Amino acid sequence: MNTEDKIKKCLKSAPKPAAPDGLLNRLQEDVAAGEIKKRVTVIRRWFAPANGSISLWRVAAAAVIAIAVLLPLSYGATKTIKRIIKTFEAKFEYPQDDGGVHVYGVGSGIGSSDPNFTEEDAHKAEREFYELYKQGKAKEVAPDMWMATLSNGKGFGYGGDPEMLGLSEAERKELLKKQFDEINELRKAGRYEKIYKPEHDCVIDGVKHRYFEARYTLSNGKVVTLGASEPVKDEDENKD
Amino acid sequence: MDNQIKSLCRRVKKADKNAASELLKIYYADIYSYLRRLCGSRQDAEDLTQQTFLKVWSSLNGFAGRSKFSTWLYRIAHNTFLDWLRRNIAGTQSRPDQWWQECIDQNPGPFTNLAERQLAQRLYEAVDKLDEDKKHVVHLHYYQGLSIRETAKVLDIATSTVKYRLREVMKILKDKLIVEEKEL
Repeated sequence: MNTEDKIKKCLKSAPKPAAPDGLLNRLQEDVAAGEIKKRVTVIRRWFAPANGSISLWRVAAAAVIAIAVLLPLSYGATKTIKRIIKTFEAKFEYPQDDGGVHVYGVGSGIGSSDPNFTEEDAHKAEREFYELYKQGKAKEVAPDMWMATLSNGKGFGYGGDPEMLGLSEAERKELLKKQFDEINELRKAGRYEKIYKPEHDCVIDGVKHRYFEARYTLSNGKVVTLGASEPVKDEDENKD
Repeated sequence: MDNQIKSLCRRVKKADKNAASELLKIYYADIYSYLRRLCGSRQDAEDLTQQTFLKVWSSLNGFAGRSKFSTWLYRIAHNTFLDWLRRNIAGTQSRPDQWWQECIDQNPGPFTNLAERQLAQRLYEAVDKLDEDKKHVVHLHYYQGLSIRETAKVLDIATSTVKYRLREVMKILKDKLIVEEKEL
C-alpha cells in the first residue's frame, strides 16, 4: 500500500465522536414543543433571549435586515405583524459597464401587531426608543439587534445602528451614500463574501430564487451585510 | 432508504412529529459528529446540532426534494457552523480540543497497533491545521463519507474544485508524513 492509499484509508476510517447521552432527547423536545412547521424564523429567534414574544419590531440600516425579516412574513408570520409603517427609505443607483444599473435599497419600517397602528405611532415609538438607547436602557441582544421596553409596556426591537436615529433624513442619506459608494467599489472588485442561506430560499414571481448574504468589510472596519437573491439557473436546479 | 427518507420528509411537512423524530434518529449522530470535529467542543457541537435541526424544521417546506435530504441537511449544518465560526473569530472561543483523542481512547477502531494509531493522530492533527476550504472537503468527503458530488453541493462549489482541493490536501499530507518520517 503506497503512502496515498494509507492516508486515504486512515482518513476514511476516522473514529466518529459519539453523540452525548441526552442529545437526542433534547432534539426531540424541540419537535415535541412544536418547532416543526412553526415558521417563526428570524424575528422571534432574535428576540427570544430578551422576551419570548414581541409585538413591535423595527428593521433598519441595510437591505439585508429588511429582507431577512420581511421575507418570512410572506410565509405566514403575518399572524404576529398586522401592519408595517415605513419610516425611512433611500435608493442608491450605480450604472454598470454593461448599461445596466445596480441598485441598493435601504429602508426602515416599524411593524406592529396592532392593525390600527399609525405613522404617528411609528415615529413616536422610534423617538422613544432612541431616548431609551441614549439613556442606556436599550439592550443589545445580538450584534446590531437592540431591544427596549417602551412606556406602553410593548417590546421594541431594533435592527441596525441606533445612532442613525439621531440624524436628520438628509444626514442619513449622505452617510449611507458614502457607505454604498465604497460597497459598490468592493462589489465590482469582487471583494466580498457571499454566503448562501438555503433556509431562506424563496419563490419570486414564480421563479425559484437562492437567498444569499454579501458581507463587505469597509475601510473603517465596519462589516455590512446585504441580503439578496438570485434566480436559480437551470444547472443549479438540483441544489435545493 | 431514499424512499423512506422522502416519505418521512413528506410527513414532516404535514407536521407529523413522529416522522420528525424518525428523521432525527437517522441523522442526528452524523450531524453531531460532523460539527463536533469541526468546532472542537462537545458543548458547542450540541448547540450547533440543535440549531441545525431547528433550521431544518422551520425551512423543510422549502426543500423541494431535488437533491438528497442528507445533502440539504449537511448544507444547513455547514452554514450553521460558518455562522458560529464568524461569531467566534473575535477570540472568545477557547482552544479547540483534539476530538480524535477522545474517540481513539474509547474505541481504537481499525488502529490496532501503536504505529497506525500514531499515524492517524498525526494526520488528523494535520487536517485540523489545513485552511478552512481544504479542511471542509476532508471532513465531508472522508470523515462523513459524502461523495464528491454531494460534497460539492454542500459547499456550493464545482465538483472539479472538490477534486482539486482533495489533490492539494493529499499533497500536503504526504509531504508532511515524509518530512516527519525523515525526522524520526
